[in-house]
Amino acid sequence: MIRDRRVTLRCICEDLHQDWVSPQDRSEAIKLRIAVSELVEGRCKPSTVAPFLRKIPRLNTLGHPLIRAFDDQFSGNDDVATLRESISSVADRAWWKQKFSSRWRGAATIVLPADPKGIETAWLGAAGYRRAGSPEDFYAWFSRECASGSDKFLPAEEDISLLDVDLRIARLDAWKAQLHLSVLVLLANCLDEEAAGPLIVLSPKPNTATETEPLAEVSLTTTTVEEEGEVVRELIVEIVPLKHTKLTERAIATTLAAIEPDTHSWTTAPLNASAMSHSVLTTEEMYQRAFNARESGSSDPHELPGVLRVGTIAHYTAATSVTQATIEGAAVEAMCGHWFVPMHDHDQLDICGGCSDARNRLPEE
Amino acid sequence: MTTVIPSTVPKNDLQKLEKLATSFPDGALRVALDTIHNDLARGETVFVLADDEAVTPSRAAQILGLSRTHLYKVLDSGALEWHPVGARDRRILVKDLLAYRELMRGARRRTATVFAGGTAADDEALDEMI
Repeated sequence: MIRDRRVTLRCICEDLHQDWVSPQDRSEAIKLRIAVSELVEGRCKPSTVAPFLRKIPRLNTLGHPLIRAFDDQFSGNDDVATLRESISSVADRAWWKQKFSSRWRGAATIVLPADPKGIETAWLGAAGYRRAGSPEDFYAWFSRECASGSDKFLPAEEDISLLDVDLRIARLDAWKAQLHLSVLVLLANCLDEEAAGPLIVLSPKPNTATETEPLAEVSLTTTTVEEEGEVVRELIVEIVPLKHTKLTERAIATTLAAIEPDTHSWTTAPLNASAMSHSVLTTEEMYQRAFNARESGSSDPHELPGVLRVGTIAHYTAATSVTQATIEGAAVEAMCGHWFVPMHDHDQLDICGGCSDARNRLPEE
Repeated sequence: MTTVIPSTVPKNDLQKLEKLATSFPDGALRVALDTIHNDLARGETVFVLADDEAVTPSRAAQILGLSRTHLYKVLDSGALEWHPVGARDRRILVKDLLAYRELMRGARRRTATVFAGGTAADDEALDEMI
């Protein structure tokens, strides 16, 4: 049985105040909680919370020994052999004792999914020190706090909001991985047949029952071209956006990244309406990845879907505003005609051949 | 059509051109000469073409930096106007070519921004998910 494990933000930030193996996990979690509280109040969007979430491991793998013990205990891998002791003094729902060494004690409960096809989630809702015989002992305190019900230890609105952001990230990542593979298979077909598509790119599967919608159409063609006396094969990617959204932009980036992650290799030319064409010279490596993907039905795990390599080559640019562009992340035109967003640390890079040629054409000093 | 490659222009001539340009009052001719001077000084090849002059698809592809096949995709899509010459040939008016070149620069600028988007752009896409 598969079971998700999560820890409430309240438990992480308030109860687990000591003994962190990686203390930065807790300080990042505290910042995350502030961002989530703004999301709950409608003062920001999931995109504001996501960067905080990316800075820490999944909540069930944070660096605290009690969280680690809880994660192991409720993994669902071996439920039959796992002995669980309930907290008998709390009667409104089943809370399970979670222990680590003679010091930490916690309370965990299992929440069933609202959707019958979903998976259940174990939540670590509270934690504290064991102090046998003392009224300050965790279980004594927990029982007193739950005298009129244990709802307050259930996941709160902040935890549900965070879960939603978490699921969005997971769905986006899965969508990118799927698109990456589909494009590689399309590419393999195109390399065989000289043309392939259109591939209809659908939006990520929604959480609700609504339908996915088409975001873009991708078609591929190849042609032979002569480049400096050598016959090479060029691939032209035509993309027709059907919706103008950030997701469509991510679909375009993921499509091109699957074929050739090096942005410097692409030449863009607009077609009618908002359609766009991008050409690239094929490489041996491109053939390999495409045919491997089609044969195995999966892409190389070392390939990162949707990750484009920018700044692999240094360009010359006449743009006087390059410093400003670096700060704002705006694109500038290089002497070779390539557009790029300038970055720091270009000293180590090779200089673009097209730009060098253009520079050599400058009038004599 | 006349093509001027910057490296073939002596610096002395370029200075003469600049002086000549400043000797004209403000107006189209002054702007034209200034443009030629500035482009050459930046190392850009200058093509002098009449507005109603037409070029072959090969020439257009060269000016735009595209392969011929890629250019034909553009022509077929209707993004760049052309007219037939004889049974099979096509010609492109210079003014249309230049207008398309601006369109292409804009598209490349936007594409570069999408390319550089990375994780932050992924995060923004999260807001659109339901």
